[in-house]
Amino acid sequence: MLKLKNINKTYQTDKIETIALNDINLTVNKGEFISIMGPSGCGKSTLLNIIGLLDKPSSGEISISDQQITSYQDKVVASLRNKKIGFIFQSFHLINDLRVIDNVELPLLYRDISAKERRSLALAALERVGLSARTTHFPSQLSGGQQQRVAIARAIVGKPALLLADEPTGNLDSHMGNEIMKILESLHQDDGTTIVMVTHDEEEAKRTQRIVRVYDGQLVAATEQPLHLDATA
Amino acid sequence: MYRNYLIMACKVLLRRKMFTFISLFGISLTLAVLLIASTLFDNYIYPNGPEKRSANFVNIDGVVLHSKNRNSVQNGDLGFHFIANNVARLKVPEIMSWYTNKRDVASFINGSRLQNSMRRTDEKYWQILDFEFVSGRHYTAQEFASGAKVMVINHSTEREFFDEQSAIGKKITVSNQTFQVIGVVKDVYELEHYAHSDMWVPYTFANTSYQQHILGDWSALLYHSNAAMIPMMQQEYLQLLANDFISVDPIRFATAYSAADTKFTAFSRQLNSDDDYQTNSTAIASILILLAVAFMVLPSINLININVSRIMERSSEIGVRKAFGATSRQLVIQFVIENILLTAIGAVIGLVISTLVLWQLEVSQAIPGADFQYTWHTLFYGITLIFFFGLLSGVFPAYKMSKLHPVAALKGGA
Ligand SMILES: Nc1ncnc2c1ncn2[C@@H]1O[C@H](COP(=O)(O)OP(=O)(O)OP(=O)(O)O)[C@@H](O)[C@H]1O
Ligand SMILES: [Mg+2]
Repeated sequence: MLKLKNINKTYQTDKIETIALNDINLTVNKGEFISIMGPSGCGKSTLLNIIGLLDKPSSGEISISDQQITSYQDKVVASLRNKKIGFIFQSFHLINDLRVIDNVELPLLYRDISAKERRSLALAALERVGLSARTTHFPSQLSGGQQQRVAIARAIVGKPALLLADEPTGNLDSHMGNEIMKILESLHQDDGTTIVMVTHDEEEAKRTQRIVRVYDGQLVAATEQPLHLDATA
Repeated sequence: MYRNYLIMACKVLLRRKMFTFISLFGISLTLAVLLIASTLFDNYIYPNGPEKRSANFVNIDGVVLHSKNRNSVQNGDLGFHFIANNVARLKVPEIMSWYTNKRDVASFINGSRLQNSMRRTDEKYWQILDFEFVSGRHYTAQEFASGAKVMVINHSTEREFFDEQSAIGKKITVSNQTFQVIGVVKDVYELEHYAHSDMWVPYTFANTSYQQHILGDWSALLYHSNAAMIPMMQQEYLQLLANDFISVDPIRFATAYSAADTKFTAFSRQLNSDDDYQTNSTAIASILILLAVAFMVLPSINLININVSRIMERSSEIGVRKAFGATSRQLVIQFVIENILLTAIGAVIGLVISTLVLWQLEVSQAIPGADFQYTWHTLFYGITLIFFFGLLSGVFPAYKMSKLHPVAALKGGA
């Protein structure tokens, strides 16, 4: 599903060269739910951005859905991001000027889809996160947890192969965080979505199938763990 | 897709009421001011009253005279002697007219005293300037030659003297001379300096003492049916003064400086207080045009500024849109459309404001006789300006914004 080979990322600022990622090799299988952990500044977000094609590695190879990324031309990566990837951010990043439904429709605007179809797909996605009753609200009229659910609806509306979440519960209290985790688990379990999540929370990480640990830009360990919900599956 | 952008733009503008309001306020006000200024200027340079043929004539209304030893300088309006001996020798103009400034005169009617302005002119004056007659006619070459005591008055004067009755055939006494009214013209917009007056009479009615002065209160209009001949007329006049100036007194008034001005160069000369006719008229015009351009560029730089900061405020939106598949090109189009929509609305409001202001100026008679029209070139300026504003203030910020790296945009656009 996702394959990273010898990924390096260095930032050049003035005279200092920061090595954010150092020779990362990682494979994520289709339908897998993994978490990335590590201390602040170790390169987790950098890694996620590179996976999400928001950033270009200094060297190395990436392939998504068995398709190797060879070009970082704006048009090419924009189309790949649009079709294959859904993002969830720590600070939601909803567009405050747009209603909930318009926020969710956003990824579909960059596809060749009729307005009617967009609307019905967006409503379905909002239903999936339990927010059908809030479609005409503006983001500022929602709680943090609700905003993040809107963001999840936006991330899944285009049915991407890969869902990337950078500390999706980082701005929420534990109760709301748990709600979000439940939705992610359900997306994984019921819809077979592949999810890569960055988290600081051990408990949350333990609910995923595999924990990838990063220190100073290097992968140090990948802990396989039995999926706690396997029994019920 | 464009329809989506347009709908999106409407949503954003409606949602950001404060920003929309401030932007619209700025755009429409700037545009209104520019439109009003350019209409006033346009109506001044290309009036639509009697001076409507302004593209085909130049006017000489002053001269600077230096003495032979250069110790004394005198300047003023032309004297008849100067015109008759110098201007009259020009070959290029097809029609030339001599006329005096307006002078306030007292007239008596039924024992009451009225104050009016009067000009003395020749009959060619009526050929170069195209007055609209309410009734009657202007004086003929024959009446002029014979010094007939006939008079043309404007509509206000007719009403002032004769109430609702026709003035044609009636008598008016000015400075102990009695004139018969033969024509009534529509009131003239005051800024049409060469035409504006209350009464006009042939200058031949009086004695000939005025003919001896080199300075006086006269002007000369030079006309050519081909507007392209204007520079030739100006040149011919300058050369005549330089090479072959005929003076009443070659010692006291040895050299003469003057110019035959279009409405535009006359305006620039006034603005530059160029009283000694030393500045090249094209140089004056260039400075004026440069100033006008600067005046137009400044507000759009300001708009660019507002737009850049507004778009940068939306860096999170830019990051999100890029993350979900927008290309830089799509983002540029989105922001430009938003901006064009905003400018277009502002333009319509600006057009409405300026129309209302100009209309109010007309009906209030703040400028007597004013009759403003958006001529085709004023409208053309307006539309060009709108386009200029919309593109200049929209494209650059949109381009700058689209170059934002998505990760940086999501972090806050640093
Ligand atoms: N644009 C940049 N320019 C220079 N250095 C950068 C840039 N972005 C990140 N870095 C550096 O790269 C390293 C990794 O940053 P990254 O944001 O990936 O950390 P993180 O693991 O996500 O941290 P956190 O848990 O605090 O979010 C840090 O040392 C950071 O200073
Ligand atoms: Mg991070």
